[in-house]
Amino acid sequence: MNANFIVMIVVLVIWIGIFLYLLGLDNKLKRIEKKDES
Amino acid sequence: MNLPGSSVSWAAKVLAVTRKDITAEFRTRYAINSILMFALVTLTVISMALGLMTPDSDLMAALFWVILFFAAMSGLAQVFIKEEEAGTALILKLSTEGLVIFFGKLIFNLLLLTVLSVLIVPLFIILLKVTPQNWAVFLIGLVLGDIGLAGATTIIAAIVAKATVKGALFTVLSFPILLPLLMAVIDITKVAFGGGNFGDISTGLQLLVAYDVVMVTVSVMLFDFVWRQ
Amino acid sequence: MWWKILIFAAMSAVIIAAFMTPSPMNPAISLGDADVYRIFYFHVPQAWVAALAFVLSMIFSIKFLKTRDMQYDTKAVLAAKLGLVFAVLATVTGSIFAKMTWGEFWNWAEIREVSIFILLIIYGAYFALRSALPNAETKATLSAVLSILFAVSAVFLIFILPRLYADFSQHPSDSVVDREGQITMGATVAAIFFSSLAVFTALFAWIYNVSLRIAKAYDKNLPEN
Repeated sequence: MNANFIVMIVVLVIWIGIFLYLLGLDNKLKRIEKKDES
Repeated sequence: MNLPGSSVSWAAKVLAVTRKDITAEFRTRYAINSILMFALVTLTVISMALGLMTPDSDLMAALFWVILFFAAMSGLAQVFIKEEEAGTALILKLSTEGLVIFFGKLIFNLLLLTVLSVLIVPLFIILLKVTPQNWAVFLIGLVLGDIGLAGATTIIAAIVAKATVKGALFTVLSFPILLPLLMAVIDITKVAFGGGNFGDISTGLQLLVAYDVVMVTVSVMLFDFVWRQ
Repeated sequence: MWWKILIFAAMSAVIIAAFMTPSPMNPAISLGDADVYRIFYFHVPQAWVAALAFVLSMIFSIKFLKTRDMQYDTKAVLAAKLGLVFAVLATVTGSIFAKMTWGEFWNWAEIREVSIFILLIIYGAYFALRSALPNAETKATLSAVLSILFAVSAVFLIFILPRLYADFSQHPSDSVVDREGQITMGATVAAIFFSSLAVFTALFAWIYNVSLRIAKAYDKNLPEN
């Protein structure tokens, strides 16, 4: 459980957060774009 | 007006614009006063702050251009701002092509800088007790530097004239544009103060000339976009 | 859809590899803790993306001036905004690295620090001009002109700065490209580094794409005047 490991976990958590946020935006946009076409 | 068959040469039109600005400047003396006073004050502050210290010639070279840079920032935007403020910009746009205006005002700004340089150099030498060891190098650097200052900032002045915040914006926009010029020209001036010769500055000189040519050329290509707004 | 999963997997792999493999820097010649050099896997790609975004913004600016199509202005601004974000990230990670190895958060004699600072200033000036111009068309045209002027100036800086800072650089250049220009990274380090470069670029493309669609959806769904 050294410093490297802890930093890695922190960075991974941050990355997962960013990724999920982007994915959420992307999906919300997909819904809006489908609505605009119909 | 640009009537077909007009026999007025392009150069004559450019100089007419310059002459108009010079005449207007004589009446109000706004830009030249601003530039001179700014340079003088900066020079004085530096001189007093240094007191009895005699820092090395490299620092002096940098300080010399700091003074010129800020003095230029205080006065070179006036050429276009005064047209917008006086309401004459529209008439100017109708009277002749954009490039004539551009070069006319560029030459005017260059004249302002020349007057500034001629007055500041002796004062700089006297107050800060620095003398260029190699005058030829110093003068070449000064001339090319002034050309670069005027050449690169004329289009910026035109851009800023249309903006709302003007004064501070001119400095903010000009700084990244002038950075290569300042670095190259300070380097050359260091050599001039320190006593080198032309061999030492050959690369710097090439860069400086390239900068002057390229910046004016690019400005010429882009100027109409700015002017026609 | 699969490429999003790929981005997730690739970035996660890079992060894990960056911290679980041996440090990219030889502990014998590193300043301070060799582990700090792991930041290199993230810091360099950020700076790369920031520069890429700047070039992209300039290309869109040129396209706008040629076609007068406002969508290019939107794209140019978007690229600039994202570029600014990555430039700030690169500056921050670089600063952290500087503090932990060379002892100071900032150092004006280090050419790369000066370069990223200038990039920040350029972005700042670009947005300052835009905010000072109320008319949309003027804003688009003048900031496009400015963008091109800055790009020209940046090219000169690329040539001038190395001349002035040749002796000063403390950036661990020997760990990436040695004096003959050959890449000296070990195979593992190279694999992680170039993967990181690729995934950061892909991430930038995705963020750019999402942001662009947000702008378009926003425009479309504004109540009609």
